[in-house]
Amino acid sequence: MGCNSLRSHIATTAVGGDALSIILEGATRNYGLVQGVSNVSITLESGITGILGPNGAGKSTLMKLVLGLARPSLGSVSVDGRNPGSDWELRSRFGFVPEYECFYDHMTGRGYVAHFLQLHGVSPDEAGERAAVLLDDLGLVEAMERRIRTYSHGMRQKTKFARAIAHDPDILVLDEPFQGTDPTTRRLLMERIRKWAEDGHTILLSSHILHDVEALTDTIVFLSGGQVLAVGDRHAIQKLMPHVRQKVRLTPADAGQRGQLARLLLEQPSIEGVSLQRDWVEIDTSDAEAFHQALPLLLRKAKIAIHGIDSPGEDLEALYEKLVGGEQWEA
Amino acid sequence: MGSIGEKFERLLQVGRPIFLDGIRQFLLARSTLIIAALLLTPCLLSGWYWYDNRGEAETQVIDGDPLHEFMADMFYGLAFHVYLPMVIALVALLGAAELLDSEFQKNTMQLLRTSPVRMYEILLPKLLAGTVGTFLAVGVPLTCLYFALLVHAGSFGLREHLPLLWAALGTLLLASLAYSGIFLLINALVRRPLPVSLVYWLVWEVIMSGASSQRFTIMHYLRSFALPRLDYLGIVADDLDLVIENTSGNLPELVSIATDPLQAVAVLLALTAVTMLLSTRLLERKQF
Repeated sequence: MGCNSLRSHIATTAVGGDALSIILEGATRNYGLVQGVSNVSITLESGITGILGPNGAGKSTLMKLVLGLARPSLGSVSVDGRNPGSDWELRSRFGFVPEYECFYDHMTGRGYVAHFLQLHGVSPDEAGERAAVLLDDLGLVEAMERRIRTYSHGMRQKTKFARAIAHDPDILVLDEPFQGTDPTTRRLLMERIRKWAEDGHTILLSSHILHDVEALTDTIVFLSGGQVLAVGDRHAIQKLMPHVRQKVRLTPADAGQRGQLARLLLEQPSIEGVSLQRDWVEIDTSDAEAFHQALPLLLRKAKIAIHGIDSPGEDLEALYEKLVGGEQWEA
Repeated sequence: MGSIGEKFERLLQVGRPIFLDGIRQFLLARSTLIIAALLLTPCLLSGWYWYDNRGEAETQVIDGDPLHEFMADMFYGLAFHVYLPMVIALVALLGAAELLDSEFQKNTMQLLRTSPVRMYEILLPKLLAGTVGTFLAVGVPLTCLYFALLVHAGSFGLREHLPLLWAALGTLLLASLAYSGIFLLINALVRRPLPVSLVYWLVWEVIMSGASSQRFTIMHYLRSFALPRLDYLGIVADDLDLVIENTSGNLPELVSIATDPLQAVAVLLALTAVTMLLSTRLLERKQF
């Protein structure tokens, strides 16, 4: 598959299941001469979608377009067939955790969550009760009656979460939700995010911590310079990059067969390099699919039993580096 | 969500938390507290002076005028030449920034914009909070001042000049509404609303309000509203700068340009409605 066809193929891939859909069609958003996002065409559906990219890639702009906080300069954005920029009733279906601080510091945690719940038409008493239950669930039972200005960063993140989910939205937009949180808070929030996704919510999540995104979802939107580099399942994306060099590690059951295996592998046209390690043989290939197809026959003929096969370069970080580094376009 | 009744009911429901938090923020803002404390100081001093000299008050005459008239004149001077042109606008200006600009500073406007409320459902409670906040922050010290001054003339003075107090409070209420509207508009319009609001107030409302083009100022309509209510004190248009010099005759003469009080109220209400409409449109179009 050529570079341009890869771009167009993956950039129009629908993501997720069959619930509430978010559709961006050629969405471009400029801030004066600065481009936020350019010609983004993606469809996002239920489940968790990770939005990845370096600083200034357009992740926050993409989220603002979905939320209706920014309108596209060109193209369109629709949520469930409606325009999020003008349809105020649609906003009841959004929950938003911004990257930045967004508090009424003079309020208590409970008061803050209840304040926004009341904007969803919930009565003051019920809002207070629901806020208390949510904050309790997030481990803020003792702090909920304290003013937010006394909260730690982790407590503030939890409060942001509580506010965002209090009205049970269909779409959760989480911009760097784990930023500055301790491992316990991070684990708790990840648990909750997984649960919301299982309940059928659509979750958009951006994070600089690739490991966190990797732990939550395989469904990724890669952005760089305001453009979508790839959309979809990260393993599928990897397969769509046949010319990108990948490492594969083969561990023979009998370590003494490493030399024989290395010689056999060197004869394969799809393999560009072989290195002999202590317990395994590591190969470099720019045609991983052809290699994986040929491998079973090769091993059967040579009567070599393999203990394990893994691809150290297939984790999200490696894929991110390849995509952002532009390797996928180098034919 | 069709009928006006339903819309009003919804406005009351979603506007309640915004109004309550707004009024609390307004009244507890450091600037409001400092101004209120400054305004209350002369009241306390005057009250203390009365307490120290009680018993002599009703018998005194100053410059040939009964004491109650002297004190009423003093209250009129402070209310309509200090509070009205300066204090009210300043309090409303700072309050509007506390109500709207702070939403941008704290990034909470993005949260409001992603909540299922229309922009007018956010702005109207804020206008109400600005109006009530300004009215309370200035009205309470003003009422205290009235009592602190007129008490020197005993219970007769206090009763005799109640129309003056009502005139001052009525004008204050209108001023609170109109200034809150205009300063909220400035907050919706520009990124640095405080300096722009100050320039507007000093150039437009203070300097222009004494000139012939004063019909374009809020101050003109506030004074026009107050004028007939001050008639019993012998206050005329010239005292409130509601005159222009007519030079068409042999001798220049001062001509009253005061607007009919009902018309003045209508103009101020219409102005506030326009500022709210414009603010709503501006904030709806604002992008982040």
